[in-house]
Amino acid sequence: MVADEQLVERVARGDMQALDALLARHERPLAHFLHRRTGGRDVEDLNQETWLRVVRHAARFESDKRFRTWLYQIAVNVCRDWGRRQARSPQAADGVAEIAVTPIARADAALDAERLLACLPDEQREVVVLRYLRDVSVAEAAEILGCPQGTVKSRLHHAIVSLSGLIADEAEGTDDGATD
Amino acid sequence: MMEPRTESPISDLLDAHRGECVECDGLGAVGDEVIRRLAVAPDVDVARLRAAVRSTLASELALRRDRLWWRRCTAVLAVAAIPLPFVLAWAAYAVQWIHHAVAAYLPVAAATLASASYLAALLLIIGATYAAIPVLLARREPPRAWGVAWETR
Repeated sequence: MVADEQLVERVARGDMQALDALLARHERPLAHFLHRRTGGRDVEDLNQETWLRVVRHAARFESDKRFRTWLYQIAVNVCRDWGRRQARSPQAADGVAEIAVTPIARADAALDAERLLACLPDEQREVVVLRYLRDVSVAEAAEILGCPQGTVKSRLHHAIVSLSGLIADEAEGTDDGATD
Repeated sequence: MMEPRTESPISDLLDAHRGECVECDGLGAVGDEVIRRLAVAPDVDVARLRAAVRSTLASELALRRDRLWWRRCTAVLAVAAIPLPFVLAWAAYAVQWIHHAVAAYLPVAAATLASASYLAALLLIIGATYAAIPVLLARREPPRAWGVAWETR
């Protein structure tokens, strides 16, 4: 099996088959990451933007690096750019508000993974998605996010505490509703 | 629509974290609930995403192939052009020599015709040689425009 790193070199030369091979290996995990990171909004656009950046910068890819790490670094940057655009545009501000309001709706019995993650700050959500949903090691997550491993661990810890708190609150709300 | 993941490493990963972290280890059933809820993969239409990516990137990749081909073509032509001045100098010397040699036995007009014919043949061979370079390169790796023309045939 051809290594990802060799495929990137071929993509830099305009090889569509190499891109297909990379897509086959990484498109699903990447799409899941983008979906979790953005709450399912603009996934198609962000996915395209990520792969477009991969192709445009493929010639500058350092072959001693791991492709997956590089891909998720790009994806994280794409998501951060998207977040900044969302914050600037008044139309998108509604969407942001919608996510921000979500924690208030903690008692909602249908609080699913997406809504749980939407309650976390972006930094914690990135770490949780990479580490727990995409099975990325702490060291690799730190490299992807450009922060120390200790920061990754502390963000994970805070995220789990927050998520547990949300679920506990939800359970209490459900119990109260049941007793009423 | 969410579909539960059949084999998820998430419980192992969260267990590992809870093993290292006293506070999270004390979460008990709530921690298990976090695992259960996060271990659900989003429903993503990967085929649609791939089709969109491929259609967006097809032109980008073709552009890359084009650029690479022209860069390679220019480099090969530049290297091939290095001996050209010597070839032309030799050709000029040969034409002069032929003109003198023929003029010794035939009228000047005939000598001029012979040397001009020789010069024309020489230039034709040299031109064809250099023109063959991009053609041979294109047969190995056609640039976008030729590739598209070939695919549509």
